[in-house]
Amino acid sequence: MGEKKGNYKNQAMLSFLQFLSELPNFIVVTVSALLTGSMIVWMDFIDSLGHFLRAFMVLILSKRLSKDLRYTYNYGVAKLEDITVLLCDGIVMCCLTIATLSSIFGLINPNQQSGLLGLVAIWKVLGVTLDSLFLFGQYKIKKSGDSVLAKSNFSAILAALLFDAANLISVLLVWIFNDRVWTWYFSPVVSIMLAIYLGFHCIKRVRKAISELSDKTVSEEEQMHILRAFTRYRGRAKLRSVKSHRVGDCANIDLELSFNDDVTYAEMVEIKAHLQEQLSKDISKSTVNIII
Amino acid sequence: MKFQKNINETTLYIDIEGRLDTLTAPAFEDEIKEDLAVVNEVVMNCEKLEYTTSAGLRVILEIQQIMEDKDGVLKLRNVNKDILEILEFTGFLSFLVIE
Repeated sequence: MGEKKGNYKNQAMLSFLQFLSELPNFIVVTVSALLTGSMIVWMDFIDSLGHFLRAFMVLILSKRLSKDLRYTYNYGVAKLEDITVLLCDGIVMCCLTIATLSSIFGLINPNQQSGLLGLVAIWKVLGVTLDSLFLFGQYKIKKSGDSVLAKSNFSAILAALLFDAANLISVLLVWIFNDRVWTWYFSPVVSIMLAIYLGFHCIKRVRKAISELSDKTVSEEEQMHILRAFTRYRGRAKLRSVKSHRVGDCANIDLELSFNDDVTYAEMVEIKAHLQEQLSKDISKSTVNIII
Repeated sequence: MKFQKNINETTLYIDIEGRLDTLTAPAFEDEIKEDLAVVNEVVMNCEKLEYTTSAGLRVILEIQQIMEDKDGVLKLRNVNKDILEILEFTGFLSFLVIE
């Protein structure tokens, strides 16, 4: 339980830092979108809103869970993030739908873009520079070890950089060629493309979150493997219960055993280790708990 | 899944028919639980048992463990080839009495 509490505290601290880092960008992008009315900037606002909401929600939930709710909800950090993804990406999807409809309306009734886009471009240059620095730092971390987390962070920063760069180029083009009629169509078209990009990633995250949140049955073949692993030690222990379920692509297996009277504690520990090792071999991505 | 049971002194005879799976295994276990307390031998005639899943195997293991606790025995009779393969894969053949 102590380890779990520590996880929630670390998560709360990390989320607080993320929240603080997202806050300035969110404020600037919100003000920019309101002042310019440009659909490209509104898309940036939606992207920023998603990041901001996710950081805020994880911060609130992990703080609550680290206090009293962890005794009510047996949620790990991953599930916490999944719930947050569902909530935040649901909101983002609604915003994207509205923004796409507005962009289509913008194509039908094109308008000249605001001259304030120059200020937005300056802010975006700063954003792209920061993304590049983060990406360089993350690249060095990724190269120094074979960490899945490092690779995942690298991909996330790269995606953020590409999004910001595309946004910057679009804003610059519209700002520089503001007097040309084609720029009136440029903003809605780019917005629709960005909406497709953001929507695609939203759907991917939501599908993953739903998969991880829904407890599924461990396959029949895997259940046979569980029984087979146990029968090797049947002479020294009795199987009291098997509880198994699959969360995402990970199988969680709880085996309750009672050992014969002549089995020493050292042997129990050895059998427990062998069972865990065997099941991990037979069932990839599995977490095995042996309850004695 | 259907089954018939009959107690003759200290032996419980069970004729089982159909599939022993997640849906039927718990009901089967409930039906014979009380009988297991008063016998020290269980003979399961599996002639008409078509198939068993892991849920069925767990019930068989449970019966075997109860019998073992009282120095009794569980015997499976007329087991078909498919079920024998499952019993072999899971290691059940090493401790079950098959006739």
